[in-house]
Amino acid sequence: MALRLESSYENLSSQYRLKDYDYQKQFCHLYAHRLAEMTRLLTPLVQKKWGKTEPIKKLCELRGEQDVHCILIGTIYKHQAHKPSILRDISEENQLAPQPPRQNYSEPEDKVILEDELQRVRLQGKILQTQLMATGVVCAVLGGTDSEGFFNVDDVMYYESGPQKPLPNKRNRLLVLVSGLDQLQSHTYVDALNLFQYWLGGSLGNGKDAKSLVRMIIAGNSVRGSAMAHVPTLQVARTQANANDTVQAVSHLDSWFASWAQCLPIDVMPGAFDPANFMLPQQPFHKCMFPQAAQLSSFQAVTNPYSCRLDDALIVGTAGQNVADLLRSTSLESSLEALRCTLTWGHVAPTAPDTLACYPYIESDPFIMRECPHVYFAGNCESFETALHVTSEGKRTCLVCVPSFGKTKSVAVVDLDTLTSRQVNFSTESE
Amino acid sequence: MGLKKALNNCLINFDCRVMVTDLLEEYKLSYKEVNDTLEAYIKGKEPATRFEKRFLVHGTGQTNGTNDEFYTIVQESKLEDWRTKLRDAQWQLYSVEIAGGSKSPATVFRPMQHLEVQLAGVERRSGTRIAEDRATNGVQNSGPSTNGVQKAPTAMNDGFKTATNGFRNPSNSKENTETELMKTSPKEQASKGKAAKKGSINSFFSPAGAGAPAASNKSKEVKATPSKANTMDTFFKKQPAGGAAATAVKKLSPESQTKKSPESQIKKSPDSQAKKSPLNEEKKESTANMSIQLFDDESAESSEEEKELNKIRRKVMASDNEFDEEKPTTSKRRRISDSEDEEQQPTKKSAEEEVHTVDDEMEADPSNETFLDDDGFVVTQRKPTKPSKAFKTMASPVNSAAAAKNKYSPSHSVAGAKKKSPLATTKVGKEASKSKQGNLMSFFTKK
Repeated sequence: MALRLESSYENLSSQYRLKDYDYQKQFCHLYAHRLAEMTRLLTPLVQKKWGKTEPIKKLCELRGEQDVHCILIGTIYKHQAHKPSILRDISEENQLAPQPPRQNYSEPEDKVILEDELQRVRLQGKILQTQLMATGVVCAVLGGTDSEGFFNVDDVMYYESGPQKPLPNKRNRLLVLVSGLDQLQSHTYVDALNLFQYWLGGSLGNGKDAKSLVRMIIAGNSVRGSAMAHVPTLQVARTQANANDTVQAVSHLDSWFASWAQCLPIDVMPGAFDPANFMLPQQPFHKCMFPQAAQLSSFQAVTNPYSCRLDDALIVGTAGQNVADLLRSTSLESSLEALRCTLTWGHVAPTAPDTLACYPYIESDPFIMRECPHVYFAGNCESFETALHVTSEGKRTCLVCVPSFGKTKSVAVVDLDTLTSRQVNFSTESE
Repeated sequence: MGLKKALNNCLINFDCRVMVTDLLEEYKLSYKEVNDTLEAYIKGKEPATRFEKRFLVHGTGQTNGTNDEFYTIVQESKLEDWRTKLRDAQWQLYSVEIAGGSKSPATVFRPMQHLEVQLAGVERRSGTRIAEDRATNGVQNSGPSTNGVQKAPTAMNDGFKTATNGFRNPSNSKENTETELMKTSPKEQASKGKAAKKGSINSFFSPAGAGAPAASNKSKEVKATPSKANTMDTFFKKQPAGGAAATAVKKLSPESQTKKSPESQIKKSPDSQAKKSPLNEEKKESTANMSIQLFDDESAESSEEEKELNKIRRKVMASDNEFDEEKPTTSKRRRISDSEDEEQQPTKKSAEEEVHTVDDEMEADPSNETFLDDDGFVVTQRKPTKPSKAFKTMASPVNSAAAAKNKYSPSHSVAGAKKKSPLATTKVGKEASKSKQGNLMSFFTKK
């Protein structure tokens, strides 16, 4: 029996762990902290790129003057006519026209507004690519005011996720990324799941590769892969049956995880439809949910988003809610582009708390990426996508859209040394 | 027995679908070995018997411009297609069954046990043992686990016990309880018997042998005991000591030993605490940390309360007339547990009221019991808010005095427990209670 390669591991998700719960706070604190923190991070970069000749001003300092050329740092607010609005929902009670549900509410007419601590100004300019912008992004814009009250943007700068530690060349180490195990529907792909587990264990003639697998991250939706259909019913038994199904699914998952954790370390993140808290950051599953697996030190339940360091490689990822929300609110066409945008913006979930549920932090914004990751992934995507994102400063990040196992029967394998990724598919030819 | 031998002896039934993965689990062979053996067997049988085979094809292919790796299960008829479709294609048997006949039922897949590549050191965590024990101990009700009507005390007790004992095979939990009993020294057993007397609520709920669990489990989980439970303890200590508890230990069935009431678990006697080794104490701490961290704050309160109670007890011990002195002790205790400004009326009626006030307190502040059900889910259950009528009658001040006596003179109680039969103990208890009642009355009239 061969032994697996070992690698040093450090969990960096403490920032996502909630110490106390206070849901009475307003979300303005989160935006204020995001702006303050990112202004501090952006200022030296801005001065380096655009020089110190261009002054960095606050909006209140402009005082309605025209043709003032300066740099503004602020948060983007995208005014969208069809954005979900609770006020509009309430107004339905007044017999106004009901709002049609939309999968995507981005339109060319969307207005992009830059807000700082006190004021706001509407931005315009071709470089902006308004349809690709999202609410909550903090950026620096270089430009000037005009007579109509617009700020004409000449250039935009984002934080781009900060500095990155160089990755020393090492032996061949592989990271497995899985998502959407969807245990409730696992009866439809039991063969694929069976193959997958023996592949992990190196039994399918892949012993050499299997030895290099140093860790597996399960990126959410392990219990349930899609929203539960709420059929209005008076039957209590139906609700009870659903609950029992979930309990059974968790129990089965426990035995799978306990088995897999014998052969490699596993990190399990909660997902959008898992029995976990709804708001980001989602807290780790309680160990009581996985009594067998939790006995093994190689198994751990982690937060969503999740950040860790394997040897020297920084790995950051989510269960995919951030990407899915961006795809709804922007004209971005693929999960990979959405993922790339969040990396460029230097924020894991910019649309939180606007259209993505998020804990009302009052003293920090844990979603700011202060260090550029080597591997950045999003779980529960429609299909596998990958790209190596290289910045002008030479930072290299492997972007991975992890496919949902329930839909694609495939997982992603990332080479931590070359920062390349590939898909491994476990399928059954239909009879 | 080897796979080859099993095949030759027709021990493998090919009427149903036989999976290679199942065979490698059963015979602890590599996939290649199973594949080769099975292929050789099928070749030998093939002309006479037709087999329906499925193959696992492995290779690389292009999808969306990326080189993907494929592991695909294909029918024998489509094997050629896949061999040409994938680069560097390799194929092995995946499943075999005799062709024709009825369709095989869906295969039940289990988590793998046979690993070709394993982690260097798979360590086990200590704090998660509770759940496994609870899931597999077989003591619990086997009914639906999610309806929240489980036997909470049993579950809770099991959890406490396993947490303190560290790593144990869940199937041995009953045996361990027994061996624990057997291993303890006579002195310890005496103290345990004493503890059992104090935990007379056991004798109330399960008169046959509730003292035994109390004796076996003692007071290891005291740190995890909420202060509310402590106040309840002080109340329960007043109950007539289950004199037969110590003697009934040996008569207990294993089942009754495992089914313990939570009160017996949370009992704590200062003597027994002193006797504990540091190792035990460490275990106890870890237990408190791991199983019920929620009660940390409350346990701090309870330690202060205990100090005060100990002071009062010492005073009582020092006095000559123990019956006369015990009543004020209990009343003081009541005052601590209830409220400081509440005045005690020196009448029998007030003594009865005392019991009711304590009961009321229980009703007002039922401490929650959190435990895990069969499926490993946390279930929080409130303690019964309204004790039964019989329970109240048991909690008469007279009996409490008797219990208190036993408690404050450990040597007496131990000797009594050793010498007297259960029947004799109860008789003596009745007589004693009558005399105590008289003494109490005289105490109140003096005051």
